[in-house]
Amino acid sequence: MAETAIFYDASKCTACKGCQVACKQWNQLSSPLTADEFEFTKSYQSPLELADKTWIIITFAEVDQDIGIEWNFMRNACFHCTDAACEQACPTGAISHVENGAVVIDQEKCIGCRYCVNSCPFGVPKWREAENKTFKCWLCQDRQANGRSPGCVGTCPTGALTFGERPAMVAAAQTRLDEVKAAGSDKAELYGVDELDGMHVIFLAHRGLEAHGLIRDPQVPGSIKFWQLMKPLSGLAFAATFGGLGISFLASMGYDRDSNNVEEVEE
Amino acid sequence: MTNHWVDIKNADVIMAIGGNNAENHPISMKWVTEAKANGAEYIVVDPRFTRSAAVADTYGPLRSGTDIAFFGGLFNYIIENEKYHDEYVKNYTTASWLVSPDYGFDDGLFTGFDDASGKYDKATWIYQTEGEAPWDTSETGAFSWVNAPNTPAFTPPTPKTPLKDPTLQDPNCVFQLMKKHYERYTPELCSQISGMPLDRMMEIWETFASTGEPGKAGTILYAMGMTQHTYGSQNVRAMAITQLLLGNMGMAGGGVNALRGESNVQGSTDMAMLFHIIPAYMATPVAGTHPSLRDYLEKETPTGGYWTNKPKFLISLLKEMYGEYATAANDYAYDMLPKLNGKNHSHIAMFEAMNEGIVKGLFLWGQNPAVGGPNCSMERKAMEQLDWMVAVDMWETETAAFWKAPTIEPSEVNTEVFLLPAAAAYEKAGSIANSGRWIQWRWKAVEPPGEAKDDAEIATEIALELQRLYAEEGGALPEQLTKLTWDYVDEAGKADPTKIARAINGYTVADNKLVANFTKLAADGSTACGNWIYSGYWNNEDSMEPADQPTGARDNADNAGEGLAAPIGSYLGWSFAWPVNRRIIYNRASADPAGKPWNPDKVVVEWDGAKWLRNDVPDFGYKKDLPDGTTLWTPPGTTAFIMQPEGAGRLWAPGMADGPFPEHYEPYESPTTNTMSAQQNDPAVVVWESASLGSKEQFPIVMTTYRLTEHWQTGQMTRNLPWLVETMPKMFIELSPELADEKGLVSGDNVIISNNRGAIKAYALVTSRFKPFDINGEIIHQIGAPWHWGYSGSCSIGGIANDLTPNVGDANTMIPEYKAFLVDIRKEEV
Amino acid sequence: MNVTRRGFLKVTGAAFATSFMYEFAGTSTALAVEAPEWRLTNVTETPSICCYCSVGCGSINSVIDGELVNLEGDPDHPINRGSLCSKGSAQFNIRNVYDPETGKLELNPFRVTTVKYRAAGSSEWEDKEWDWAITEIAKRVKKTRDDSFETTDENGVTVNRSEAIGFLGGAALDDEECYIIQKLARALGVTFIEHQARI
Repeated sequence: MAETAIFYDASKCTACKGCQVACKQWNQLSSPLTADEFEFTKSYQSPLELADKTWIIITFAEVDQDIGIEWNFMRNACFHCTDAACEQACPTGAISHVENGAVVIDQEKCIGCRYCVNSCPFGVPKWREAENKTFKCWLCQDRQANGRSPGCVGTCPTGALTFGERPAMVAAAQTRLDEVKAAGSDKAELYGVDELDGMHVIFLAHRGLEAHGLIRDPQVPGSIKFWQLMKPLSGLAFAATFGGLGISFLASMGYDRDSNNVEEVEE
Repeated sequence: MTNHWVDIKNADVIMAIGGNNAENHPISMKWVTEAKANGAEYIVVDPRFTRSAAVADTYGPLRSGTDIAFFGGLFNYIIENEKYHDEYVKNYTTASWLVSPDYGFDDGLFTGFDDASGKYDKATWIYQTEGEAPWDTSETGAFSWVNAPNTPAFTPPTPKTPLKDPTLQDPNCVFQLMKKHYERYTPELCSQISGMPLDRMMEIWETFASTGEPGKAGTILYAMGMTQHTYGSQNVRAMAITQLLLGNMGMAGGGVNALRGESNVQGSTDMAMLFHIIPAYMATPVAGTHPSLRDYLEKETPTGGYWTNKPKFLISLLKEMYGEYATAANDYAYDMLPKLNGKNHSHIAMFEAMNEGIVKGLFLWGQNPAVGGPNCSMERKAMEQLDWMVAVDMWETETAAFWKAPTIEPSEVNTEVFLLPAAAAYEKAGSIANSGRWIQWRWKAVEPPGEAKDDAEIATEIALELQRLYAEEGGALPEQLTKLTWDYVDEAGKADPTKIARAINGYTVADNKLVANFTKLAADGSTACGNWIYSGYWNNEDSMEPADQPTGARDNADNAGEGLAAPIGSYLGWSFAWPVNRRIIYNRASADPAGKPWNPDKVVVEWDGAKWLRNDVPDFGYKKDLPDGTTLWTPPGTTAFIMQPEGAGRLWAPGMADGPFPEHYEPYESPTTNTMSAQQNDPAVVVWESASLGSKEQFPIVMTTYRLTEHWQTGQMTRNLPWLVETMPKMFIELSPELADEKGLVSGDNVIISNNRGAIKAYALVTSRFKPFDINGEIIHQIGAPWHWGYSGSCSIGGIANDLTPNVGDANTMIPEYKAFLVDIRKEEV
Repeated sequence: MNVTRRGFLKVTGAAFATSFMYEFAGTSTALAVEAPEWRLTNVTETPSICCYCSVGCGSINSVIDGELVNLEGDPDHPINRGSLCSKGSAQFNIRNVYDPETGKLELNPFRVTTVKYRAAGSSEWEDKEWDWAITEIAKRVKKTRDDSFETTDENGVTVNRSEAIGFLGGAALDDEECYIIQKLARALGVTFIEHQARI
């Protein structure tokens, strides 16, 4: 079973936000219907942050130049890390890797504890108060299963977003890195190839990671690693505090743990 | 567009100027990106740093309204450095044509200007000619149709033979006149006027002029940044001249490409929803000029070019409109067409007339002038004079709800308003024409919600009711309505777009069979056709299924033409492009006079010595199908521009209202003095008093308006969509950090932007994407705002940018000068 | 059915896509866990063209039980090849939105779906019937036209016009609609015919 990945090439992105809307369209995510729920963001970036119903945004960063500026765009959505803090922090096993490498939240199992929200180095998972659940990008597993690329990729006009088996995406990113460097973008870098043991979104930041707002050398917080070791025990204790969840919840949680994460626990 | 969207991939250099294709036509970037992958350079020239500029190879900032300084300097650079495509210019343009020695230009004025009328007498704007070459109307002649029975009588025009100097040395030849005219446009002066740094300007000129090399192609992408000026038409002329000098017209990857702003503004223009034309670009009759059909045909039929067939197109249109009632005896009901009084009746004039109480009733078909019109607080005020308004729309627009405007007291407004609920695009069936002239069919997906109906149905119900009323009650000239054909309803009595499509395509009257295309139309009343350039888009008599018609064709194979090695992305099997499915207009010019393609790798048409090889439908008479079934191929000629009487591309255009060459003038509200000539503004512009023009002393800041990717037009189609509001929620103005410092502003402040026409409120967005310009030695600030907001629309409301724009229009088209005007700004006191 | 969805669309312009699959080049992968429910089963798909800018991008509208449930780029379209910008993707919202409270699909609450009439001096809309509106509009058009009609001008030239009625708009309509609307305008003798192309 091959791992899949998105390749985001910032040098081709025009920040049209097609991906932002296509994500909402496909995943049936609402936006407010009243004017007073919106704020002026002082930027072309809007919304400024991911949210429980906003799983992808394009970020805008300006660097002044003599003539014009450098306007650096970046795709901000779940990075689908292999070494995923959210998954390790999740006490119930609601967050797991599926075989294509994506990190998904099983809403049936999510208890709204927000450990993932607090542990993610990128601030990706978002909690929805009304349902007491946490949400984020799931790399459109339903589309993948039906032979379609994720909604954001399918809609991208310029090919800034492409999708395929991860090794092919890494190779495409490397090729493109060489191209843009040869064309003069000497600060260009890739991201996600090795970070956090490899992400399932690969990035080309043609003006360098910082210029595009990417965190260099991200780490799963040490406390999460500790928590991960303790989880089989503390997870039970944690779950027990949510009395209404019942025994079947505990059973299913244990099942997922065993099948998916044994190796990490024993690292 | 002379070319089309996919064709952008064929360009060696792409220049976006007066347009912002990445933001306003995002999918165009698919093809810009592909061109770049093939090594193309992408240049963006814009007053502000846009999302197009963000991905450009080169960005050139230019003060709004100074495009002709930029292009005039480019012409000078091209000519002085001999960067033009010599063989192309000599063979396919009017460079060699001799102009009357009486024509001249002095310090901003062309010969013939009359101060009193504010108009040019164009008597000296003529070519030198000798002898006459009358039409051959004999039985075997090309113009024998003139004498066919039932063809209206008119005296054909008499073409004169032009004098030319193929060496381009005669001081009165167009080339030398041009050289002389643009010698004044020195790089230094052009830089001082436009504010573009000299080095950057020279770099852009050099890059774009590189496409003058034979075989290279450069494309220009433009939009309203070019046209929304008092010399907007001359801006467009400047681009056409550039492309002719560099040999880019007709080439794959070339052309002058208007990126039109609405999904079917091409089609609505083709259909002549404009005062000055009737369908397919024929002039609306004017009482003083065209009192009779004979006058119309004699004045409007040109001496040469394909428009010599105009009588066929006009009579076929009249036959479609009035059916059996239109006969040779009554001049095909010519008098049923309303005639203009010779005065301008364009958008600005309509609202002036409304203000004066002349226009008393108004239909709006999805237009929202209360936000979209120039100086639109004045336009809203004018609406109060209306007895009635019918707004057909999907939303409660600011116009339909003008009586709710913040400054209007409803009880004082006596206008009755009918707001009729309309259907969305996918709630009805029909065709639309994109910028590349592809007429594509849209299938209906769902029924309109509630009681909403499509516009065709609404128009039909009103038309049929009016026909009934006039038939029963009489009234003013009932025949104008009662004799009108309206057989566009299906068996259930509903408007049927496929029946309208038949009428537009055209058919032979005797047997009601669809015509193959416009070459089958006649001037003797035997054919009916609503729009000749669309003829061929719905020509399959065997099936009325849209998928079986050319407009509904969905074959997306990109095949090379027979005998050719590689395709060029024409997609001839996908939809139908007017005219006759041609994708690149003037494509004869893609090959040299012998028919050999300038670029052998991207062949549009090629003469192989015996026949034409084709990746597109040739734009010239390339063959004749003989009665015996054989084909007679027409060897190469040099008439590359068949729609012009000259048969050649016009470097010098005597038909323009404000001069045969583009000349730099300042916007009507300008922060500086014209340093190119003593003539501050385009002298042929009509200015109404209501424009309330202001001075730079009162209002020192240049403002421009534009659109955002996330919104559209007056915002009704986007401010009511929560997903889009979320991506760009509020009205704002953008300004430089330098101006913000001067005014004590930071991002997020509420500011008031004002001039003589109004004052609006917006959030300040301080950004280095705006920079002050150094203009003629003075620092000039420019700000900008989107014009998508208004007071109606439930997800997001905000200040109306067009409350500030001037209702002063282009000398040729009356398109308002939205893109360059003066304001001042201040922080809102709270 | 032994024909692909895309082949079917080519032939008929519409397809019932119960069993059709997009033929994307992208990798098809199965999930380790149970595959999520596919929400485009039993849909009717029709091609359309985007209503915003003039690129003319194709979209595919998916309909279940007469209601629009999905709208995305037409992968067969030679210009946009399946892609859509933010506005193109948001076309779905023109008709339907998801309620922020319930998450349920519902008609965009800002759509005008009834005939509305505002009387002279009134500060409110009233809902009306279509028949009433068409009758009343025709009466007003006729009166304004009849009162203002000029058969000849000051030079005796037949002009057959009314300067008292304006027609505005059309760039958002279909070609066929534009044709008949300008035809109606000209048959009323209207000279003030304008639309978005001018401004």
